[in-house]
Amino acid sequence: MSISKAARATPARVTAVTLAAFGLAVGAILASLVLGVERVSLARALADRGSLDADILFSARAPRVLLGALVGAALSAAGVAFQALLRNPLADPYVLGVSGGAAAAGTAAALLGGAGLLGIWTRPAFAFGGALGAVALVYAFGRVRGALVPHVALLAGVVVNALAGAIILALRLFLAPFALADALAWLTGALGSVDVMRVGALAVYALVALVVLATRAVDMNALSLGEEAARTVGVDVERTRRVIFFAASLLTAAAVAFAGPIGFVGIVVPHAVRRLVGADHRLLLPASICGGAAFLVLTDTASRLAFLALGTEPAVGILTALIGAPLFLVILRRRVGERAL
Amino acid sequence: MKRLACALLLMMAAACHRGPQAKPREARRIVSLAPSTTEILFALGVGDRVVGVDQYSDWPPAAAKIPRVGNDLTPSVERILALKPDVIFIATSANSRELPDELERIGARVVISQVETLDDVWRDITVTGDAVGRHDAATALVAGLRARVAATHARVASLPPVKALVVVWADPLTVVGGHSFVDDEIRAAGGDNIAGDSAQPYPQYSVERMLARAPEVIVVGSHKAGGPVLTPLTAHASLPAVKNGRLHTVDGDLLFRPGPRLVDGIELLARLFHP
Repeated sequence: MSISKAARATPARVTAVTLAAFGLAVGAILASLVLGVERVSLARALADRGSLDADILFSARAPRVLLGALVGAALSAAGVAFQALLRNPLADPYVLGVSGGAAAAGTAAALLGGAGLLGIWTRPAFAFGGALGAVALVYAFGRVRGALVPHVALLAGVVVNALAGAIILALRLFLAPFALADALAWLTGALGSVDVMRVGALAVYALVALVVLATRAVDMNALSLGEEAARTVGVDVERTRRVIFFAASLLTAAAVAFAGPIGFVGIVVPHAVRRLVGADHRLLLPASICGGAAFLVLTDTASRLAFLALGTEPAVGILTALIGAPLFLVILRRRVGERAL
Repeated sequence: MKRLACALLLMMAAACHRGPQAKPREARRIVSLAPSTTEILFALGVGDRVVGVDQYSDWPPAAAKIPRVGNDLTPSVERILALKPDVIFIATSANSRELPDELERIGARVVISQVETLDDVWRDITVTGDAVGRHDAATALVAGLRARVAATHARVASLPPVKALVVVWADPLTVVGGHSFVDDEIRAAGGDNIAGDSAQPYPQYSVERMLARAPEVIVVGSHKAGGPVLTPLTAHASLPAVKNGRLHTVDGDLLFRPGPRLVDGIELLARLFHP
């Protein structure tokens, strides 16, 4: 991973790139608010809050678009962070087991039914707990002599994901057919019906984690050069790794808790952004946050509109995987060619 | 060669067996791998001959005491074998394709029911009755059930159909579309299914489309494991069903299980559509 363009990350360029990316995200959000299965009139929606137009726009479309933006930003930022941490552009929030833990616990929530102990918060709460459990496991087994070692953590993550897969299959045996189908729908990663409360909760939470990550952009640059190089420029490698690991894991956990495991956003977006602005994290991170929001919002709009053609709405996780998996293979092939893996 | 002769002989025997005047063989030991079939068997009065059921067969209460042979997709073939059934019922909606072959290899008669429409349900009850030697009981059961549906329909037929939506689960919004026996139930109960034009039997439905079509009544089928989540529906103030308190939760087994209790479901829907 080269940061040869780092010299060009002047404050002016950081501002310009960030603003441009932010503009792109806002544009994507506005376009998604206009596009939908039903035509709505903004004038009528604003004039009469009790109108059908207002209900479609403000209680169905807008919360879903905003949730998509938040989840996309969170997954993309987590992707950048994990890639810096593991020094590998193919690292993804999912590779480290976080999503697996969330998915297994979220499926367990289906055993209690949708309106279990915590009502609509049951599944998010379970998924969040599962993600934290997976993070704890990966952290416990990903260290050598107290220090987080990237490739060991990566292997621990792969094993945690495999374990989570087995747990999901085992839970499947105990679920009634309808609860099973419900759990499966969530496992494909759908933004689905959204209420404003959930969007608000995620917004506050994600903002804190995003700020924590953003303040570490320079340290991420140092880490991508390697441990020795990072030490030379005075970075507390162990501490930095820990902070980035937990901030990125917590972001992923929250995103999965609300939207289910939507895959590949954390690979596709940082990869595209890196090609446009280079590998300097002062540019890469803010641009990926905005790019991730734009990407998921637009993909989910495509999934909403697909209802018109299919008569049923495909989960957005299906679309991101259809776009992301081939791209992953292309990057992989290129990296093998460069012997850079 | 000997094997071929045997097979031919068996086929002839089977053909004779199906002759018009031959009385169908009485099934003594029955295994049911679908909750709807278990209900049909009890309604036909042969519940005491059911020796094994799948894990979801929970009605009537007596069915809960019958030994379980596991889950409907991958039942324990060993346990089924140990029960020495002479007939095994399978629903294609619930079971895999390989399973019938595997069960036939162990020497039992396998009856597969495939239900898509309400007419299929009636046919399925008759087929089930024939398979256990209860042809007359099955004919009478179907006639009784159809008469009840006709009576319900007669009450609501002259009234304007109510715009209705039957929800399988609310998040992500999954509803009853066209081409399903539940769609037939809605129509029989005097409802106009707003998602009935969907080609899928159970589509994941667009929330915007639901809002625009403004169902007057929304019925959510619950699935035992706790009550259903309703917030994705109640969040929409413009929905007439929500505004007018016509969002109802009912026992999902009455609506979604293609057995005799589905008529209870139709009567319930009719009361909710046309109080």
